[in-house]
Amino acid sequence: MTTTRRELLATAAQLPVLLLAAHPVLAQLALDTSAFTDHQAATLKRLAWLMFPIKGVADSRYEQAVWALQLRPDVMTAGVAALDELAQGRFLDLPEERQIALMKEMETSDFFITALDAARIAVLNDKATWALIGYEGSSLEFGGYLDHGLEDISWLPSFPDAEGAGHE
Amino acid sequence: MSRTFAHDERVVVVIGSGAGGATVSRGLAQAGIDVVCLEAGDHLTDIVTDNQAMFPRLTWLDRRIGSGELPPGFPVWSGKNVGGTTLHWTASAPRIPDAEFTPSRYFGELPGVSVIDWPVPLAEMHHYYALAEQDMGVTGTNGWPHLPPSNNFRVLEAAARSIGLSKVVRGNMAINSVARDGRPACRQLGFCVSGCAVQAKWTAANTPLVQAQATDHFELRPRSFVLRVEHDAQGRADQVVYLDAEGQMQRQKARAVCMAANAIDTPRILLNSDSAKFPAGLANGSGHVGRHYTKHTFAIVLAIMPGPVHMNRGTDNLGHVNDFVVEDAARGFRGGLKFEQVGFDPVTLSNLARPGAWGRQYADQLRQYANFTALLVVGEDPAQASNGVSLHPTEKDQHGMPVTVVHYASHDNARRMREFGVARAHEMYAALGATEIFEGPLPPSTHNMGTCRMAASGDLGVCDPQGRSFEVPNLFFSDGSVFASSGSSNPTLTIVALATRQAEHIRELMQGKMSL
Repeated sequence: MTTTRRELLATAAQLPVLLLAAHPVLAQLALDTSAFTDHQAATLKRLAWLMFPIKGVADSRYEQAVWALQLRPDVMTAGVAALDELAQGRFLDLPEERQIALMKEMETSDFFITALDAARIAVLNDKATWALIGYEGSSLEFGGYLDHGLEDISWLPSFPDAEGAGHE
Repeated sequence: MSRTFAHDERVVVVIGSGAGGATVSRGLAQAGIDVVCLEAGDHLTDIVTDNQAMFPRLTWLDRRIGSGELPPGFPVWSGKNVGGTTLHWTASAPRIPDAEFTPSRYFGELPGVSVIDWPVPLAEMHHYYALAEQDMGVTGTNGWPHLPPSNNFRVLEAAARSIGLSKVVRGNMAINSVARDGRPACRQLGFCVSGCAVQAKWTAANTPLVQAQATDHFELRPRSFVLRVEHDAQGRADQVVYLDAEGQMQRQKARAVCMAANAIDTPRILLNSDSAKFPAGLANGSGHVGRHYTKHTFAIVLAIMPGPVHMNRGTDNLGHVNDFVVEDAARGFRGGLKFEQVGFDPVTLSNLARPGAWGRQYADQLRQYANFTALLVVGEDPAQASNGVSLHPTEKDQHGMPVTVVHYASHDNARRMREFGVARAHEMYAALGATEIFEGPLPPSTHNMGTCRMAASGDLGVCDPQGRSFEVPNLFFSDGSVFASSGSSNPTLTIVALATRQAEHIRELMQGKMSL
């Protein structure tokens, strides 16, 4: 099932970019980024990766950021054009260190900050990413951390008169 | 059972259903005094253990503008619910230490401050603190055990002990450590700031509002956005103008009004309630409404430790390091501070720890999430007349009301206190072998106080020692805006104690010689 751009805009009419980037249900659908050209979508995806290059995070996270950014098409297309201009060609063709240097130059722009926020939420608000980085998420399902590792730390120096040892 | 009152019945109108509003409502309703409580937010149902999903449902997101050191787009993190910010709070419930009720002794000599002492006798504070602790089920009091230590607590404790600090305690929390008052014991879910899914945490919604509803004298109106408080020809508050759930303007007649919309919106409403008699805002002949805002000298210090911590497990703020609470001028600043352990989920961590950060180094830090720990530096903040709440001259919100501007700039003392606290936190974490330590920027303020402060006389504050306006005899202040100083403690226990006391006082006024 593909969400058409029309459906996207209809669904997302009231949602700001961030909520779209974080939306768990919409993430399951194959994402249509036809508001952007292939070049623009690829550039934005590379940008999102370089912003949060967490090895092991699924491609779909960065794609969702790009998809959400379709809500600000003018800013995004202008931003990609500006990046390519700075690159004096195509940003995508540059070596990574050069790409990062150009991103630093654009760091304070509305374009960059919008893309950064979308990438951050899309990458970090995701169960698979959480498993990768060691965030356990909801504990309600197993009755909370009270009996599930609340105090299982093993590497601290011990103090014989430590406050409140164990459960009272 | 719950009542409904007609708009032209002269009831006590309480604006806001948070810690202060709900507590004063309950006290009056239980004494047989009719109360209508107007709350801008709605009931919160279906709590899920997901901070990002809950944030927009809990948080005041009406536009405010931050000025000075506050984040410009989101200067204050407060609640918009039935129960107010208590749905969100971490339930850290310490008292303000006795010495901090007379801050002029150590802050008074600082240049540019507007510091005053609390005009409430300490014996009264003790009495009402004890009642509030009993009411809220505060651990460490009344025989209720402290909550059990978590990994994050143990890190704070070991870090403090490693640099020779010794006053590490489990702080008092308004979270059931045992089942009581019809609510279960805490299961350490770790999502306190998104609403407690099992209601182990005390909130204004699960306790005083429930008790108020059980009387025949209370009506809660959610989704009611107060615009103005109006007065009669004698200068007595006589009605509250608000937008109801359908967006229709309504007027509720009042025999008295209790302002409990939090330290940002209480002054805002009054500033918006200007009239010929009160050209600077209702009850603001003194010019103090909105001023002397204090928020605690505040910092967040984070570290990546050499082993797993899982700071998300369990409650925040359980651990307190109190070695620096008693002030000592030899440190190079006046006033006291403490540390409280805190944890964040990955998105909140990235929003608070290094907002705007990106790239390989940052990604490597985030990948070590499980090894993160963090603490809050919370310190006494000397009042300055220039810090405060005002109305934007041109920007309007969705109701056509002037947008609130919240301005805060650290006093030099606060800067030095913060530097000291952050330096000690660095030492603490380094002593445990932290691989990286960093300070977050000043976050949206969660402790907001002092903007309609109580004082011994009307030249120094907005209300008297009972929170009664000096200028409008039937207008009361029931929230954190009354604080004469910030103290070094999370404010909610003090708000509940003062509102409990105030309800008794209002009852005495109404049932006694003075007409109210």
